[in-house]
Amino acid sequence: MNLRIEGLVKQYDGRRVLDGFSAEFPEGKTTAILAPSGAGKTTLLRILCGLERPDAGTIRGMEGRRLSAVFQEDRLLPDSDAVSNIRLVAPACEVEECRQLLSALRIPAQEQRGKPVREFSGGMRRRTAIARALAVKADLYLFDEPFRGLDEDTKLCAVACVREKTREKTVILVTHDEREAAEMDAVQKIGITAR
Amino acid sequence: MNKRTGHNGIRLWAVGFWLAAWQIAGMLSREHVFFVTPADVMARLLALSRTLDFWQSAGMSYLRITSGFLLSVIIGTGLAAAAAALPRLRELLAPAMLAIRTVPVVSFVILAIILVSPRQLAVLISLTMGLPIMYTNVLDGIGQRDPELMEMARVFRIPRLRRVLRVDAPLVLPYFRAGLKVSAGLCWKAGAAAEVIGVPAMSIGLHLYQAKIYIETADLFAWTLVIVLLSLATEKLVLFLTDCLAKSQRNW
Repeated sequence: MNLRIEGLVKQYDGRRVLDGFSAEFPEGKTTAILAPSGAGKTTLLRILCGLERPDAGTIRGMEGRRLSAVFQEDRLLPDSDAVSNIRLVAPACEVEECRQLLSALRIPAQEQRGKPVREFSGGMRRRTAIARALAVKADLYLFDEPFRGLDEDTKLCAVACVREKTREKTVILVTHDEREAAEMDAVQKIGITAR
Repeated sequence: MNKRTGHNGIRLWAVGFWLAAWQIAGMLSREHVFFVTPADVMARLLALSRTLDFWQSAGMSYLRITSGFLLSVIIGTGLAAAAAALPRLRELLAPAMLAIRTVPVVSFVILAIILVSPRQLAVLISLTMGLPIMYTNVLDGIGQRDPELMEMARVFRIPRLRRVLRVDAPLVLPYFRAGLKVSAGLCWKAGAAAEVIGVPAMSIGLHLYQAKIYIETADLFAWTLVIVLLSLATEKLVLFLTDCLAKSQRNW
């Protein structure tokens, strides 16, 4: 079942961040939402995550879906290692499976266990957050600028890993980079204009 | 920070200096009955430690005061968790905690001695002194949780117990730890004072009281040293256990 949003409105302190946003996200495909900063794309994802309630509008097709997300911030437990951060949200993911996922995202094996993620570089923390999201067997993946801060080479590797792990899953990718949307094989690109 | 100027811990040379100063002052005023030297205190402590009564008294006082302290940790933490979830309870408890924190210990002791037996007095007073500290610290810690991590837990539907243990607890732990450190010392001070007033059998308080009556200054210092050592041991032990728990919990 496709995910359908109709007439979504959200305002903060009288300022409309989303003003009647409508879109349909095809099941099992990747949709990119392209917009400049401040256009309300993160607000849209927060609403889809259930962290905000819209002031108006409807969302259909969310019932019973298991979500997974990469937030704009990494939101990792700083004192825990990479494997523990993954297993916190995906306890069914065995340690070896977590390690394979982290290795696929180029986190060196010796850094995966025992080292708190607060000691990681920004790029490594970002990749750990991606690995965490991919470890969850979800129906809907929400990615808020997941590749931000990664160098070109690492980004290509991360994109390939995300594509592989989310094949035939519904993915909503928020980005301001058209090239990134193309690399993720987005079947449709939806724009939100800044208000 | 400069290590030389930034160190607030106890240096051995400084302890040595004050002990030497005390020893010299004691030796210079030998004829004065109130003045004892550190050597006199250590000799008296050694003599006391050879008696069964010493170990029974220290053991029973330890049991009473530590029970009060542990109860304050459990009740204070539980109340703080409940108050964080229920704003009305937080409002209800605020004046009570303020009153407990500001009313002098001796007023509590005098009131409590009417209500409970001398043996229970130290437990009750230790509990009363530790409770507002643990409550306030844990409540502050809960208020400082990272809202981004709480949202992450919601989105990934992390079960409540795992969320509390893995996401919330590490953020509250520094506040809990600080509460333990302060309340352990305070419980021992207040508990010992309660024993001196209540004078239960087999207690450090009884020996302190007798030392006062018979002007046994060496005994007074020796028993005070016992209180200091037991207080430090309690503090170090609970902090060690808390740190072990925190360390093991990080990578579950």
